[in-house]
Amino acid sequence: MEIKRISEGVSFAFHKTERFKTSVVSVSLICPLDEKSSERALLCYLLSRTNRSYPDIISMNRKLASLYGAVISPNVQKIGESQVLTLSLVSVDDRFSLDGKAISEEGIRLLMECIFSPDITPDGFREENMEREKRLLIERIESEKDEKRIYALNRMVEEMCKDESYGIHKYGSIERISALTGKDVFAEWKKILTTCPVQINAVGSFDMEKIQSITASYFDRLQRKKEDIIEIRTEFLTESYGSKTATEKQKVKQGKLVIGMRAGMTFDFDNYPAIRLMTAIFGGGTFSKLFMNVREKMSLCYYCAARLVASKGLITVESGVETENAQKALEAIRNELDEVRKGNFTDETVENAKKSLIDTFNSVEDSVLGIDAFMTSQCLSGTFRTPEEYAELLKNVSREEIIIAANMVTEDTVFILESEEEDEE
Amino acid sequence: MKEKLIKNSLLNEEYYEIDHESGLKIFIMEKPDYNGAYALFGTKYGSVDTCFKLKNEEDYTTVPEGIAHFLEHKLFESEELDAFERFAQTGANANAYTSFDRTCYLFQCSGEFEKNLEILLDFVKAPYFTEETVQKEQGIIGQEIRMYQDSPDWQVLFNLLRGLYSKNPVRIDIAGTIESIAKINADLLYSCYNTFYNLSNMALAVAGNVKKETVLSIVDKVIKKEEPVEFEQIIPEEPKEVAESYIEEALGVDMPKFALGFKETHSESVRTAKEALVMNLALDIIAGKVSPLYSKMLSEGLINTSFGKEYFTGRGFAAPIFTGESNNPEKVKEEILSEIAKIRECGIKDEDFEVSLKKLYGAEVFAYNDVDDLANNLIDAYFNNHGLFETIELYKTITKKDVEKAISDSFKEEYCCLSVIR
Repeated sequence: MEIKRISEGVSFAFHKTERFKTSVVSVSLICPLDEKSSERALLCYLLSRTNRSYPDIISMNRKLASLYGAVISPNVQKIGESQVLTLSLVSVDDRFSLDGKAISEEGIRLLMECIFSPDITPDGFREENMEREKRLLIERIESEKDEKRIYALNRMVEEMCKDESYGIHKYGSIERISALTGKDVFAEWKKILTTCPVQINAVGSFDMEKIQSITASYFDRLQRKKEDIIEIRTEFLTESYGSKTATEKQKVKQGKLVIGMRAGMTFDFDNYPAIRLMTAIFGGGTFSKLFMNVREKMSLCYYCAARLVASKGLITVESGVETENAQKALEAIRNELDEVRKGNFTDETVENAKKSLIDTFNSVEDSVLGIDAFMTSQCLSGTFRTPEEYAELLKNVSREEIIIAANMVTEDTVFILESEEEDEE
Repeated sequence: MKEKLIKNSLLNEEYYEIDHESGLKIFIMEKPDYNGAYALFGTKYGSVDTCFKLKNEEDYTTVPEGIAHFLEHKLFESEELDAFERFAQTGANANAYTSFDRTCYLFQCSGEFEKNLEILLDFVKAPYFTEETVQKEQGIIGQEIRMYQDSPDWQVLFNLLRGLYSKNPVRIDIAGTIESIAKINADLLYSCYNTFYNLSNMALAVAGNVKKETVLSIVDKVIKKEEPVEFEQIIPEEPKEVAESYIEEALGVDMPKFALGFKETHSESVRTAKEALVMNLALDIIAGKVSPLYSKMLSEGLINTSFGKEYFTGRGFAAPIFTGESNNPEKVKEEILSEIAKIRECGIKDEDFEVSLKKLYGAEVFAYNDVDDLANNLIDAYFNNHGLFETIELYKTITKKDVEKAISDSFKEEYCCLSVIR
C-alpha cells in the first residue's frame, strides 16, 4: 500500500496486486457533518445514477453491464465528524474479459464523468432526477427505522451527541431533503469539488501511473487552491458528564439495549492499541466477557457486543433483550466493564484478544473491498499505517495499559427500546 | 484415496477433489498469494429435514422445528473447553450457519491453520449434549427467534414461503419457534446427529494459503473412518398449487415490504447449474437493473433501490422471487406479470440477452476473489451435484432460447404468491 498527493487536496492511495480477479477504484469527497448533510447525501446518489453522456438510468446501467457487469456504487458514511461521500467502481480485471477487451480505463473515465459531468441544466439538477432521488433517500431513511437494531443504535447516538456534530444523521433529515431544489444541490456540488479534501483509492493489477494521471487530470482542471481546502476536525469529549437514560416504547417482540461510552481519547489514534484491545476483551468476540457471561452464562441474549468507534472516541454496546430483562442485562454489562477495570482477566485472555485482532489486520489484504475500506480509514485518520504496523502495535500492549484504558471509559448514555404490552397470540 | 485436480483455463484456477479413505469428501483450493485461509465443514442437513429414520430402524422420527439450527449451536459445546474457547487460543474467526438444506461450520484465519483445522474437525465430530446445556441454549435461541420476528425483511420472506408451500418443510422457520424449541432434548439431538453427521453426508472445503498435504495430514490425524450410514426421509408430497396467493402481516413499518414468488414443480431434487444460470438470466432480463421494467418502476415511484430478485432454490424447492419495498405491491406484481407476458409474446431482444449475460459473467468472476466465497462455493456446488467451474463454462454455450423457454415454463401466474408487510 502506498499513498501520494496528486493534486491540491487530493491524495491517491493504491495497492497493486494480481491477487484478485476484480479491481476497485473509489473516489471519496470528505465533507463536514453539518446542516448541509442532506444536500450532499442526495448529491452522492444523484451523481452515481446518471451523467451527461448516459442521462437515464437504463442507458447508464447498460453501459456498466457491457463492461462485464462493472458497478458504480454510492456510499454515504459518517466517519468521525466527517460526512464521506464515495463513488466506487468495481469491475472485472482486464485479464478476465471474455473478448480480451481492456475495460478498466473506460470504467474509470465513466466514474470520473459521473462526478464531474452530471446531467444538469443551467438551473441545476433536473427536476425529475431530484424528485426520484429525494423519494429514494427518504424511503432509505424510513426503511432504516424498520430495522430495530440500527434504529436503536442511531437513537442512542442522537441522544448522546445531541450537542455535537456527530449527532447529525449521515443523510441529514427527511424535512430538509423534502425541501431541497436542484439549485441547492448544484451549489453544494460546485462548492465541495473545489473545497473538500479528496481521497482516491485503487486496488488491482492495473497501471497505477495511468490511473493516477486520469483521475488527477479531472481535479487539476478545477485549479483548486490550497487556501480553499477545508480542514475537518472531530470534537473528542474525553469524559461523560454523568450517565443519562432514554427509553422509547414500540410494538416489537424483542427490546434493544444500547449503551454509549466515552473512551477517553483526544484524537482517533490516542492510546488506540490499548483501547482496541480493552474493547475486545470486554465485548469484542466469542472470547469476550460480554459473550461468555451475558450471553453464554446468563443466557440473556443472542447478541451482546462492544465496538470501538475510534474516529469519535466512543464505545458502543448493543444487545437484544426481553424488556423485562433490560435492567438485569444493563447491570451485567456494567459489571463486566468493572471486572476489566479491576484487571479481572487472565493473561490468556489478553493473548487471545491480541491474536484475534492481529488475525483481523492480517486478513485485510485478502479482500479487494477490505483494502479499499482500510485505505480510506487510514487517510481520514491523517497518518497512514499499514495492517502490519497495526499488528505490531497491538503485540506490544501490556496488561497494565489495558487496565488503564478501561479506567478511562465513562458511561454516557443508555437507550432502551422497550416492547409495548401486546397480546401474545 | 482418490484424488482429482480440476482446472479452469478461463479463470486460471484449479482445485483438488479428494475422496478420503474415511469416507469424507474434501475440496482444496491452494491460493499461495493470500495471507489467510478459510475452511468449511458441512453436512447436507438443514431445517427441511424433519422426518427421518435410519435404514435399520423401524419407525420414523418427527423432530421439532428448528432442531438442525439448535444442534448447530450445541455442537460448539463440549465436556471440556468449548469450541469458541479453543478457537480463541488461535485468534481464528469461527462461526457456523444453518440453512434450509445444510449446516456448515467454519473458520477464517491468517495463522495457525493446522491447529484451527484440527479444532474444526474435532469439535464437529465430538457431540456433547446434556439436558442442562440444552436448556441454557433455549434462552439464547429464543432471543435469536425474537430478533428475527422483528425483522421485516425476514418476515416477508418466510410469510411468502408459507404462502407458496403448504406441506414442504421449507415453509417453517429455520430456527423454529419458542414453542417448538422447548420440545428439544438431548436424545433428539443425538438422533439427528447420528443420522446426518455421518462422513458420507458431509464435505470439507478449504481455500487459501494452504497446502493440500497439510490439509490431508490433519484429516488423517483427526478423522476416523466411518461406515456410511443410510437413512430414509419422508418428504411430504407438495401440491402444485400455492397455499395462499396473498399474505399480509402488520408490523407497523414505515416502508411496506413485499416478496413475490413463483412456485415451480420439479422432478429432480436440486436444480442443475444450467437451470440455475438460465433462471438468473431470466430474472435479470425481466426486472434487473438493465431492464426497461426496472427503470419504469423506479421512475414511476413504484419501487426503490432495495428492489432485488433471486432464484430461491435448494433441495426440494425452487421459486424465482422478487423482493423490495413499495407503497403499492399489487401494482408491482401487475407490472412484473405484464412484462413476463410481453417477453413470452415477443421474445427476448438479442441486445438484452447479451447485456445481461455480460453483467452476470462479471458477477460470477467476482466470486473468485475471496477465500470465504471460494470455500463456500466449492461446498455449494458439491451439495448441488455439480462442479465449481461448471457455471463459468456455461457462459460460452447458453442461448437466448434457453432463457425464453424458462420464462414460458416458469413464472406462472396461477402459482404465484404475494407477501406484504405493512
